[in-house]
Amino acid sequence: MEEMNVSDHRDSQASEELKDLADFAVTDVDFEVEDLLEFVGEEEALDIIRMRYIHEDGEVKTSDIEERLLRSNLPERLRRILKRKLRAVREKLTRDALERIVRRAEAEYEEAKVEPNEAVGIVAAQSIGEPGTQMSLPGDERILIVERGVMRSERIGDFVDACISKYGAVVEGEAEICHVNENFFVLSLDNDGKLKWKNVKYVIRHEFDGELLRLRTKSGREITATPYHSFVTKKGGRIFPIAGSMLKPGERIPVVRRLPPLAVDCDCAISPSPETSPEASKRCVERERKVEHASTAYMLGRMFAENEYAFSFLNDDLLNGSDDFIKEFLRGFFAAVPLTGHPASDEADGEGCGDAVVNVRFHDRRVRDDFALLLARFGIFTLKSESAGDHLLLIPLSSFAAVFSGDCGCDSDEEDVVWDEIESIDFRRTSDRVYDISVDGLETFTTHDGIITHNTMRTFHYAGVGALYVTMGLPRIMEIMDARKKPSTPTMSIKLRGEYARSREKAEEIAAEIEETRIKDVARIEISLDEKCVFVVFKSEKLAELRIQREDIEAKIQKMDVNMEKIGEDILRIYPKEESYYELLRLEGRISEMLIKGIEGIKRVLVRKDKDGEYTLFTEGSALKKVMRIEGVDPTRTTTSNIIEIADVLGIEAARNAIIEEIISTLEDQNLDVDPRHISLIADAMTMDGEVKQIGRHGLAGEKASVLSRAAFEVTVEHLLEAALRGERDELLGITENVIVGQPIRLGTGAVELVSKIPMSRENTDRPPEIADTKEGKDKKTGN
Amino acid sequence: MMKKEDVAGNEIIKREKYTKYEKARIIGARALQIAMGAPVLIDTDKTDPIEIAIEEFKKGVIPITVRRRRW
Repeated sequence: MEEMNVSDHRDSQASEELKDLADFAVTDVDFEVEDLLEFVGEEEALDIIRMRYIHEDGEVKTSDIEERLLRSNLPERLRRILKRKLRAVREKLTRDALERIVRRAEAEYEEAKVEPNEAVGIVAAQSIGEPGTQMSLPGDERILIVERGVMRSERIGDFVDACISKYGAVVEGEAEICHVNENFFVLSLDNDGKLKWKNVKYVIRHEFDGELLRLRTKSGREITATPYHSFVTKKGGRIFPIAGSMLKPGERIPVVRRLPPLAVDCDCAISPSPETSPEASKRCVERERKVEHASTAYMLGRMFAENEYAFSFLNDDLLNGSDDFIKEFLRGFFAAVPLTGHPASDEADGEGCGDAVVNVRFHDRRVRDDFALLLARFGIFTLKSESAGDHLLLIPLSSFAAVFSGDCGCDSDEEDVVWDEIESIDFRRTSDRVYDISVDGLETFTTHDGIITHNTMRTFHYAGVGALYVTMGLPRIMEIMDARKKPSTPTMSIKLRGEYARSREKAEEIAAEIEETRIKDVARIEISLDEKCVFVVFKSEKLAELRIQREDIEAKIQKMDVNMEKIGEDILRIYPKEESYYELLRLEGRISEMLIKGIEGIKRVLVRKDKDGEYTLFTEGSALKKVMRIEGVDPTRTTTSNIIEIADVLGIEAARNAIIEEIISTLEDQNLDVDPRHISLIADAMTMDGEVKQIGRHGLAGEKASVLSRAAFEVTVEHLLEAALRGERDELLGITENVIVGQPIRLGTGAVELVSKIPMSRENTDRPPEIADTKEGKDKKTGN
Repeated sequence: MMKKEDVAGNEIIKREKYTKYEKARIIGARALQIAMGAPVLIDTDKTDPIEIAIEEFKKGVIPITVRRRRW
């Protein structure tokens, strides 16, 4: 699909099929090859055929290909593609093969065409979730967090609340979003099935009043979340997100099998930022020392077991310990616990070799869960259950043995997760707050129980600087179809040219050029009441950073028709023309808001490196015309999400394509696959008169000639009254009005007009006489 | 591609395949005729008007075709 562009979506189906057609040139030959194959090899058989055909028909020339293609009914685009492919294999072609290929192409094309009178544009209403809301966990769900190299489990509610009190939150719709400045890490599942500790970017909290669902898995783990909260599941080998409400018992969600270590010989598994690594390394060193006391670990293990697990929780240091330390601990533990494994019930993990399990009984649930994590460090997946008020942990001896005695030849090259089957789902009502965490990369994080869950908060991520919140989902589609002049989150994606695209510095230069900078961003503004003036004190670092000259600012202020005095290098004193308090305040306002650099409308700019290694600018706010002119900007690849602006700057056809592109990408985002024909119909309808019209009553729907149609859409009574007053007439040509009066509509079968094939000639005596003689009979319509 | 036209300049005979809607309409109309007692144009043992109409269509003997207007 390299040459695809949205205006040819009609051909898209056919093109797919054609892609490799020509590559089959010779393999798709007739029975003779099969006959020959009995006696000679495939290559020889083909050679023989080739020689024979070429001898008989001559070689297939390019002109033959062209000619045959011209004779076909394929459109220009497909002819070009096919010609290119056929020419590439021309030597292997025979005339027969050429004919067959072109015929096949024609057939596929016909198949893919939309038939005349087909009803297009009816988009099935699928549920598009409102993004960013209600996809969260209740506050008491515990999650695994690593802070400064130490892992702990904390209630998500407490964690998020603390972050918000510390860093404040931005309110977006119903949610409060807090940008986390510290380095917190959570356990995240990657596309390759590996678990990694990833940075937390945002934490989110919002009110929720409704039903929570609680999933219980076969291994005894559980998680409670809002129904829209998404999880990750695996189907057909692919890992993808799925809404909680769509999960059914029997489906599988990922659970931690192997916990990646936090610090391994000071080579921290966490990607260290400068702040954490000295701390983390320090801890590494501390732990290394502990390993020397292997006996200590062993003793601890034994004590733990013998005291019937009386520790109320496992020591933090233990959980964060090095592999060796834990190993010793477990050795000690199991020295005291009778390893009387018994054959597992069929509920045990199907690990492969040896199915015996050991049942360890804990009184405290947290201790049990912590212990499970300990074992997860070695990739041992355990099953949890409850019995008689106690919390049990089933440990499969096979993997246990593999790790601790190295006898069993179990496959240790496993995924970091186990795809655990959901056993039951039930509901619980709540009206507390719910919480969510947004993680860099794959957006997954892990609970204390070991379940991996997914956050679908849709934000752009830019490591370290911030993110853009963009309207998505249903609200965005509504925005587009309403042709809103000012979309709620206009954003631009600016591609750069040449060296600007390759160097971060240069890219940031441009970013500074276009980002709105006002006087208040580079100076301190104060009013002096007794002197009745405004003081402007420049902040030199800011001015230098943004490369703004004082003279420019001064010049701009001068233009404002006030008296300006320069006191000292960085201070200005400004007097308003009138000596009134009111004027003074106004002046202060005007000065502080004065734009000195950047383009009006571009509130924020982010620099980001995309997958091709190019630096791209993303903006909050849109000003296409001006941005395109900036040096370094590639105007041919810069775009905006404001459709009206595109229509203004680039023309109506560009707007049409933009509409299609935006809607399709919004749908794709939700994993919805709608045939582009429907979208292009809408886009065409919206732009057909040369301007972007909304679908609603001020646009398309309102312009319909049919009274009944407009009345059925909105403001019913007014339309009917007006029409009656004016004596209007409805031609009943459209769909709505025919449905209202009960006639067949002019689409599909209703668009067909039947005509008799019986030849009307006087000599045809087989016809019944009455039909031949009447004038009306000349054109007999059949059917109702 | 040749088109035959009638007096009014409307394309009267469809040279290529019928669309699925045209096919449905034709068979339907013919089935109605058969159901109302019209003579059947093929030799068959079938009894259901629709089935008969389908067979007639497949054999190409239905004397009904489509007029495609230029809207």
